[in-house]
Amino acid sequence: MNRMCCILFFITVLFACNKTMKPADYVRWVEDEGNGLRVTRNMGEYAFTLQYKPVDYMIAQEARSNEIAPEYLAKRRQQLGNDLHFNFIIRSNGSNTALKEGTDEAGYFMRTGHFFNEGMDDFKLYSSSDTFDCNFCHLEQTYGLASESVIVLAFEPRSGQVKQPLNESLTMVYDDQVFGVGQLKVKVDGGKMGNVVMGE
Amino acid sequence: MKRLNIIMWLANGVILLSLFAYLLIKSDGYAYIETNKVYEGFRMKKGLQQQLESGVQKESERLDSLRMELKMAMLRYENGKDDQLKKAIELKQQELVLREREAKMQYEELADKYDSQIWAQINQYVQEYGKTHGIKIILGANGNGAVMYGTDDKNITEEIITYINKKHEGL
Repeated sequence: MNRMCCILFFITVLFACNKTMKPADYVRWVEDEGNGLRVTRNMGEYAFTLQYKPVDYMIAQEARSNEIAPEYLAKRRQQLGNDLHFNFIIRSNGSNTALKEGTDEAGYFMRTGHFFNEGMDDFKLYSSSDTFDCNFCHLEQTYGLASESVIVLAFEPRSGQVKQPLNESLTMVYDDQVFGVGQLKVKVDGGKMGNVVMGE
Repeated sequence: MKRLNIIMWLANGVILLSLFAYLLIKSDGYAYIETNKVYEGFRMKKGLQQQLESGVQKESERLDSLRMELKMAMLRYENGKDDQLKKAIELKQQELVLREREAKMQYEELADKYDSQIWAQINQYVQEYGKTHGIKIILGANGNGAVMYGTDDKNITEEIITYINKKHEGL
């Protein structure tokens, strides 16, 4: 009977434990669409991908190493704080880069200009409890050389509204003004995030 | 006992056959949708229509106040027959005609833009529905003769409306 109790205890502990991952594995896990933090939407000539970036994912990307000093990790976690970070990646299904697809040079500059100046107004984020305005929007300028255009976004929830690590769904509304696809809603699900932790 | 077993086997056989027949009918690769219903049932369309109507309302209020100004000026002119007022009235009339024309053009441009956005999304989601449900052809019945007749089991309009609305909500 005692042995049975011990086995049951160990099984419970085993399942209750979080899975600790090396930084490289953690990055792969976050970028795996099956885990709900990266969602792609095809729309006509374009594919729009929303990548949620947990703080640890950003630290791992910065460090580019599987060995991150605990002090550095703790410091960066504090610096990056409670903001919600995303990459919004736009690809073209045609032969051009996304910003050049279906338009001429003037159209290309109009699109880049739009994201540089008014892009922030195109994005909204909402959780089950509230809506957040975008407080950072930056188009990574590649001058049409990269096949995809990446827009880096950040949203600042008021304290306690969205807990980190994320354990709920967040919907991002992209109100398109330049590609002619209209309003797109993309939902990322943080339900599985509680089960994984990035190890030092 | 043996008899009961036979009955059970027969019943299972009938259920399996019916299921097989149902799946065969459902998955023979073609279906149709009533495009007007899909368009009307798409939530994105309803949202954009509201935006469009509120824009029209605001513009028509502006035009109404301009018309009112014009009416007042005409009344004043009838009482005084002032030449300067006559010129001002003519200018206001021209302005009104111009602004009415501009408002109409803006409305049509915006309605076209919204329409093409709505259809871009409907087309994409219908494609995705077809791919995920193994449908080879989805025909659009819009009353112009593209589909003259179809049995109800081939009509996937309601399923499509539910699907595209879920997709639009980001699900």
